[in-house]
Amino acid sequence: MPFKKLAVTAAVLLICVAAERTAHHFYGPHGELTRPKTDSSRSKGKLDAPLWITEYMDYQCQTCAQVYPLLESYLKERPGQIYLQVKFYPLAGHPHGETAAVYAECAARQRAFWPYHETVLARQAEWVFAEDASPFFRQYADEAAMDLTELDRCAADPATRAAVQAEASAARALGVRGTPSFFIDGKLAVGEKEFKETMKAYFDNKGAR
Amino acid sequence: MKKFADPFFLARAALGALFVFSGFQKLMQPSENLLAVIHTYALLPNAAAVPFSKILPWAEYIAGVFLILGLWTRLSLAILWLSNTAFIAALSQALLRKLPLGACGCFGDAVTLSPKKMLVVDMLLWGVFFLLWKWGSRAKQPSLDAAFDPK
Repeated sequence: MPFKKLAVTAAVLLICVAAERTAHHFYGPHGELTRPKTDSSRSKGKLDAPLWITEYMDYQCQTCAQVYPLLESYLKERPGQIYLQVKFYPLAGHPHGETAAVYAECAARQRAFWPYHETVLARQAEWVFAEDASPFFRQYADEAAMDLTELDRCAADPATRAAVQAEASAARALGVRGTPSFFIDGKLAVGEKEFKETMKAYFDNKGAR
Repeated sequence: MKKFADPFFLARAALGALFVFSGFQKLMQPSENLLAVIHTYALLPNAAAVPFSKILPWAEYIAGVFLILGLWTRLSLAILWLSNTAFIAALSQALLRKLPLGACGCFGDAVTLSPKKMLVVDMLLWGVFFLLWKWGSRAKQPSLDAAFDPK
């Protein structure tokens, strides 16, 4: 085998790796998600629980709705051991995802996030194909005994939508591209299967210690 | 200059560029995103899916660069053709099983194609691979292989 060809091959490989590393530095994920230091109205569990989970979700995502009861069961089965925080990452292809998140943010400001969150996910089939899903979100807010005048003011405020979009941008910078994406003790797990695998590994490992 | 306008060279370079783009897009995001896409095809066990999600983007990127340059042309072509065939098989079985795929994830999140559209694209690419493989000697001009390998 000609030495020159091998040398050129090695040089091309080195250039490829260097180009990828350089591009990764500029366009790859930046920063890391750290354990929340302050409690939020979109969280469950004790802030100092041994395991913290941040879920990036989209209300129109089917898997997000499927995974919610699973999250609840983990929280119930392991009281005091998990701190869960929900963040928004509405997907571009889901027309109602962002509006649902805007209403959820408004619900959080009225300390009614969890009943609203649970209802929107549990009754996803009702609104997912609607042309305008807002009346459904208002109805769920009403059922959660929220102040509807305040809700309408909050949902119409461009600052609320901007806050949701800023949260999604921050997620994108961390490398989130789909939902549900979980940061489990800071480690990324995407989708239901990986979530289950990571949780199993965490608790198996903890049991072995 | 004329040999750069050869359709075989142009097809080889375009194919290489497509896979460089595809691999690069995946490398610019955490491999966990690709792993989630692989899981939706319900084909590989986790022990195989994890290394596959890390290796595939590099294989596409490096083999794509080699194909453009015409370095180890036959080997690069074989690697990419094999992965193209594997995509077709994975997509077909997922469509037959009516798995909830969403976008195929073939180009990271830069281009989102429905699984059916991607299957059509992959089949067209398969045809291009076939032509390049069959007329390999023509597809090797111009290339670095031609400069190094004995005539």
